[in-house]
Amino acid sequence: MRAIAAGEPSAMRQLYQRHAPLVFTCCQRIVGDRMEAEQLLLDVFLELWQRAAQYDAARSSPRTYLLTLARSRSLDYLRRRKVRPEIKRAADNHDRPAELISSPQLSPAQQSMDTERADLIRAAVNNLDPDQRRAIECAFYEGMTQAQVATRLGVPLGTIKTRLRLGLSKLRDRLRRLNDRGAGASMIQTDQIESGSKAPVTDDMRGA
Amino acid sequence: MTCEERKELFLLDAIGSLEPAESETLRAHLADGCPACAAAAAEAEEIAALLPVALQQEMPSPEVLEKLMVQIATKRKIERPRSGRWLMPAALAACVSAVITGLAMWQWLGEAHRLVTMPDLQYVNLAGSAPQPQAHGRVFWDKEHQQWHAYFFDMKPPPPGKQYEMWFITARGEKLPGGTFDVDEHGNARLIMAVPSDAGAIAAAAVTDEKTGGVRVPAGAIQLLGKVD
Repeated sequence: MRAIAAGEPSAMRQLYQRHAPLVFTCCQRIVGDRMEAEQLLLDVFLELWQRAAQYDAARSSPRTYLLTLARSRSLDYLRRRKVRPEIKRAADNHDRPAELISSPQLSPAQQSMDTERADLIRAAVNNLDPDQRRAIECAFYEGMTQAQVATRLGVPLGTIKTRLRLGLSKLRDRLRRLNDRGAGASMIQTDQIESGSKAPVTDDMRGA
Repeated sequence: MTCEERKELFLLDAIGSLEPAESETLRAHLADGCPACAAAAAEAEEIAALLPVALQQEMPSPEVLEKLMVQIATKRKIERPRSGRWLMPAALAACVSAVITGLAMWQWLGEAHRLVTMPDLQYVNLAGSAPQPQAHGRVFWDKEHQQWHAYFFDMKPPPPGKQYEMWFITARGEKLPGGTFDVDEHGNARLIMAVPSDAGAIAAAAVTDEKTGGVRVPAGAIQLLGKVD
């Protein structure tokens, strides 16, 4: 990130190759259109390029920064269009062949680490109670507040609040355990190298 | 509300499910500098950002990267080339090696990427003039191959019977033709010119609209103009 802030195109290329599939997937999941998702992907990386000097490595990893930006811009796009794609069933995107996750730009070792981590994270999300997962996905991918999720799913607001709290707490606990086991650390550590941060942001996750 | 209670809310906030007023209250507390809540908020954001990792990843088209690399080249701030290092041919028009127009943009984005990542990059920006202020362009000096690569974007189609013509203006005020070009359906074009050995310094580059085939002395309106610092 420091190199990007210094205006190094090669560093930008490297960051793109590492994170573009994830950012693109997030955008596409939100807007439901491949071409629009590619435009959003471009916009996100261009915004990062222009604002790289403001990036705070101590606050978030590059991946989190990019995904936060991608989600925000994708939801903005949906609001501008005032259309919302049908919610894709989680199975549409969670249960596809594992080899599709590979990124040809990454080294085999990196791909292996990322694939392993993605598999573990996917399992952590998929093992949530389906109702809890559905509520979380409505909020995250469709930008809905708890009240809007309740309306969308046709259940009382109190029920949605409970589902979200329980689901997110379970997810947090499972991801903490992954990090404690070290299985999930590889990607985060790489992110720290990319960001130039000397203080791992996962300390809190490990120590909690 | 205690910080312990807030910690649960940070997760809800990270996935965007809080009402705006609730979210604002949390952010106000963070702005007060509570370290425990700052750590909880950071953790919540990291967890929320893991949700897309659980999706099966899709690959974007390779063209997105090439487009990104070209666009960041037009947005980056680097040192402009120094006067005197931009050498100009005495008879540039005779040395035009290729004029490529009407091609799909993707056909030359890869080459553009090679240019913008050259270690000793030198270029001049072209800004749209009054007839088409939205237009812009950039001319790269490929020292390795002794060529000029000019890229033009967002230009209007030239009027019927006319083409765009590239010009280099020397420090002495001479206007040397660099070749004619049309633009594709997106308003983009590229022009490649060889750099001969008897070059001299230039002060500016410009594009005018001229009658088809080009002219030896510019007579049309200036469409793009860039000065060499």
